[in-house]
Amino acid sequence: MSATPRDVVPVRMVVNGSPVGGSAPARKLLVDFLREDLGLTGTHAGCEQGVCGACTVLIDGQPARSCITLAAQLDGNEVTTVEALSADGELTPMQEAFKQAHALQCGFCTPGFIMTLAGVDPNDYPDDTSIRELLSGNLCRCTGYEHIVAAVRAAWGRTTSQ
Amino acid sequence: MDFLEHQRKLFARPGSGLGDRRPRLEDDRLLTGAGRYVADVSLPGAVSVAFLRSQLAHARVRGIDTEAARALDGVIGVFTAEDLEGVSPVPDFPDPGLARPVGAFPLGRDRVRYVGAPLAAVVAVDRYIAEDAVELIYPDLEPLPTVASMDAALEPDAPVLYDGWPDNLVVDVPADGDSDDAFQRLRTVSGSYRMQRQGAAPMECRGTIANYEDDRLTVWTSTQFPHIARTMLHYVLGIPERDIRVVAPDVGGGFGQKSQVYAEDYVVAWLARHLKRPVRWIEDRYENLVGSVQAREVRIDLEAAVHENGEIEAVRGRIFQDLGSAESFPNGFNPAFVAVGSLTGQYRIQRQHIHVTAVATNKTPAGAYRGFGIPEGCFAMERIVDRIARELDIDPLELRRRITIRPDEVPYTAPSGAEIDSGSHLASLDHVIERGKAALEAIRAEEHPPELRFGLGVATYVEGVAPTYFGTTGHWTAQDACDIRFDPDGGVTVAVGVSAYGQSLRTMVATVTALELGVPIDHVRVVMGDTDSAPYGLGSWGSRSTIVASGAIHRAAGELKDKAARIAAAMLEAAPEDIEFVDGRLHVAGTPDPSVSWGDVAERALIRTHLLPDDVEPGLEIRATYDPPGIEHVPREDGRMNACPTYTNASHAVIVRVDLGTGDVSLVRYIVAHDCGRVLNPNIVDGQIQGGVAQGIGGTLFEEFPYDDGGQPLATSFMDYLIPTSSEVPPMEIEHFESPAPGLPWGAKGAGEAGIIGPAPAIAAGVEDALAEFGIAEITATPITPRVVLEAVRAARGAAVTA
Amino acid sequence: MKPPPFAYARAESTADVLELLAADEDAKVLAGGQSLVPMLNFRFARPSTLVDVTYVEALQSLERDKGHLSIGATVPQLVAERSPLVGSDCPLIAQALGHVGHVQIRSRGTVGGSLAHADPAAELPAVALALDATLVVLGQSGERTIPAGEFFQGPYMTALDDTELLVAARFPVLDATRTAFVEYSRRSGDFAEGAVAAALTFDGQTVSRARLAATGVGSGPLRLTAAEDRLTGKPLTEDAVEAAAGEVALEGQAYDAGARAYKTALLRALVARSLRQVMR
Repeated sequence: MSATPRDVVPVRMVVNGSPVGGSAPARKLLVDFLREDLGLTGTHAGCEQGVCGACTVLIDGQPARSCITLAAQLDGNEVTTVEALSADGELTPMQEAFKQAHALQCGFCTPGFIMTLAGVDPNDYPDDTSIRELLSGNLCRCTGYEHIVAAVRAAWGRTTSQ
Repeated sequence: MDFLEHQRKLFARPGSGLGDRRPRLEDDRLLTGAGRYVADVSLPGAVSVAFLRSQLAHARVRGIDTEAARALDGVIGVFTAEDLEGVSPVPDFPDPGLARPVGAFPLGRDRVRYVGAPLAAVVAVDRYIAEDAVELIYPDLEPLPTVASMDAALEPDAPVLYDGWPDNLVVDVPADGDSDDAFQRLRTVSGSYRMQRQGAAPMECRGTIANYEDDRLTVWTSTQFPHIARTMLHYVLGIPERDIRVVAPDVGGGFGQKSQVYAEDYVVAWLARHLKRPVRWIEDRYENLVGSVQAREVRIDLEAAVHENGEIEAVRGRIFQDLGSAESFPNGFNPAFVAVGSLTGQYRIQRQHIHVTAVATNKTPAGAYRGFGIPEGCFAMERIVDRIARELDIDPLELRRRITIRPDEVPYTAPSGAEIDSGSHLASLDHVIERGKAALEAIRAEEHPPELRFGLGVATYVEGVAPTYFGTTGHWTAQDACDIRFDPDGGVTVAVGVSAYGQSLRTMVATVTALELGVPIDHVRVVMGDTDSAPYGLGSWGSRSTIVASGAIHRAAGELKDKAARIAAAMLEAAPEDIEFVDGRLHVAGTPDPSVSWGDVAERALIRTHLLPDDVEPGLEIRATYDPPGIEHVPREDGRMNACPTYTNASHAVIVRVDLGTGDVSLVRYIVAHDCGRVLNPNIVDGQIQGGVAQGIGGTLFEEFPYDDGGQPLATSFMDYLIPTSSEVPPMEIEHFESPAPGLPWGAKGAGEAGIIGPAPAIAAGVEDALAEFGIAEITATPITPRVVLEAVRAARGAAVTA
Repeated sequence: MKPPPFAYARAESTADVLELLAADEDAKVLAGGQSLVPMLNFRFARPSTLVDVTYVEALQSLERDKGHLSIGATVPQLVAERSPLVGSDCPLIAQALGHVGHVQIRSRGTVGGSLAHADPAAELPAVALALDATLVVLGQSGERTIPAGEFFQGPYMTALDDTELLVAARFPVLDATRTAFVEYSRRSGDFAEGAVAAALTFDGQTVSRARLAATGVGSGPLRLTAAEDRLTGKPLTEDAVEAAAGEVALEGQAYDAGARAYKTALLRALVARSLRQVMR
């Protein structure tokens, strides 16, 4: 049967639009697979405890924490990392808004914020309170969040705080 | 020397962009995942390190059995202290009369003194297997009695952490002089204030990767001071500095925690040389929360001699600091002295006498954290001002106005010896009082559930910036340096000794260089963080980078422009003193045409040198150093000392909402009036303040490293160490006051640390204000947890009933 | 912070799961992994094999079933939270799920995973208790059902034995019932410092049945029966709210005096707030 326990497992996923095949130890974390096996170092490991959100990627379009997901758990799923967003060399409107609003300092947490925002529907977050609640799954130690909220507001076409 | 005229010219120059909200040069890479942090440094054949760490707070090391770990598949080696051939203990630089030397060794030898202390290093093909092997090491540790708190360390029969010491006092410096006359004459108000153990928790943990190639060691490390790290590697490993290259790649936040050199850095570098292959160690969050320096844990006992109008004549008291095991470089005690040096802030107080005591305990070593003693001192001072106001029945905001130094009193010498050169002390205070009162009134006018209460809290402070490093290190002082080099095409490379970890230094250095030289900013390339290409400098800490970098660049640019003027003068057949620099070109004053470009001048200086005037040597590059002016490195006879070239000031106001049902304290609005002199880019200064305020909020309401009686740390994950999220940090408004530092070429004072100082006292005052109807619910300690709040309400109600 | 070695097996059917669990006493079920993988990273959990159940179709259903809402064990929390069926049949579930971690957690975390993990501060166990849910469990000897009140047995402990699989949770669809979920956590998205799930069934103005369950205030989800008794058979008035809140006590929980006083005060406030929300 297919359900045989294995120490090394086949890994199949579509990363940033390209099919990825191979194998990995059963225990390999998705964040390590992306960084070490695929060289996608834009996804950062900040805590490996599922708290800080620096490792956020999209799995099938939904924001997810790659530090508490095993590579083995995926089977043909679409994984999107920060590298895919500006593949054409242009910043996305959200990235541009972050730059204009000075919404990043050291930048370590930034890809996680950008990926969370890339995977949600702005209509679900109609005001500043709900934007802040959404962002509360990503920790930033540099900015105090004020400029990040301003950047989100700008990118989502909201002119004033509400 | 007075630079006010130079500053005016710089900032008035059309198109300079100074004072505008410009985007940064750093961001495109970081936004697209192209940043390169230490964990992203990938070297072929690299092996991974994991450390065995002590799980006992205090123990004698009898032996370490590494056999099973060595035998595990994929393990390259296991190393303990006795393997570290040629490694010396970390030197203790401070005068042994000031601080007892601890002689820390990178791996536990005879004793371990905190949970998390590294005992052995495993090298394996990857980190997963290295961690497997760590579990197969069996240390033979004999438990010793534990000193788990500052109070326990001070007990007369306390176990002693270091052989040959009579007690656990690392530092004990009695106060200079006294003001007994004032205390006999005047009303005495006293209080005891505590701040809890907390830490920087940068989003990127630490990490060090080393490679030994071509008889040379290269070390990539997440550090704030690559040159100091190199010098320390030299001292401890015995390798000449010329044979070590230290690189700070992109650094994911530091906040002081990375202005330390750690055991792991020495061990990883040693391993790379020993194994002759690349070795990587990336700190994980558990290690960061038990193994990287912690801070802030103090008790400050304070007494004030007070006139009946609230004026304070003198303060006296004692500060106790918990240093943990004290095995850190730099040693962790200087925040206690900085707390004393900054204690009286912007208040008119003539005398102070504070006894400084720092003790060793069986906890993670103390070290640097943004604010570095100033938040601790400010909390105590502002709390006692509120108590004075209460005892004298004066409005606390009015009392602050009354005792704040007026513009005509500046420059002002504080009782610590700090020479407050400039500032907007009263104006910034008035601003936040006005804005805070209006905000509170507006909030209270809205309808709210009956269990909510609102209050206003205000705090002020003065922060010395770009200080001497001698008090902290006992070795380095304050200088920094830059190299500016022109290429023949007119491009400029500027290399600086400061080092970035998120503060936008690349943008700052490029801006300053472009404007000092009069070249377009996109002709400037900035180099920093690499000891091979940057001049020796002390890195970035103490809100120093803008001051020291702009100081050095100003000096270098002056000399380069002199030389360029001589070359251009020959080309334009004019006198050098008549040459003007405008928009990247050089021409004769009053005659824009003809002109030459910097490129023309550089080409002549570097390539067609036969055309140079006889008295001009080839080349167009320079090194300049900069020593911030007016600094003293050690106290004078009377204990006073001016440690900094200039002083910033700020006032904070916060609207606090207290939920009487849950005890929750949340912040509705945060108002800052901030004065760091000339502001080059308000976006960046705002970001520094906002980030500092958020960290200060964390330290006031959420963050704590508690230990149990056995010295076991209780916050070892981000589930327990609660750093604030976007939902806990309120909207902020920031007003910039600009009182330029007259003695600095750019007049900018440095803004890195200021934001973190105000939140604790402001929030504490806000909570008290919100709870005023219940009587005196006094807050004397942080963190102000929901339980603390409900207990304060209950105590105040109880006191009100008995009274 | 790397997991210890283990093997991974992907089950395609419930039979696969049972076979794998029976074959290896140290095997453990893996659903979304949002609680389990952090415990692996800390090396607190050391399974020999992880049996991934998220590919088993039988565990993925979310449907109305004879007066019950049945939620398959591996339905992601975010899917349940946004499901119109959940919103109409058991809104308390959606109200509570909004408090579970953050969107990045709920996208992978499952309803069954949270219930089976039984964190003493988790939201869903309190909801299951308040709604009198039934847990459907499959074992070697077939299917059995366990009432929520018997399922949660302590911190991280349930009535599931090592060879059993949680298949679904069945929540009764209650008529004339109003619900509220009120939580206090230190930070947005944290586990509850305290939370109350309230479900009150009305007969006209009278409370005919009151169910209150709390989490984050002890060793597991707690029914607040004394408070429920105060509410039953009376109209829900401000006086009744106060009286019910006043009944809350935490005698059986292992707290020191200070913590007990705080948690009790907190829980009373949350009970009152949940009831006022129901009143509105």
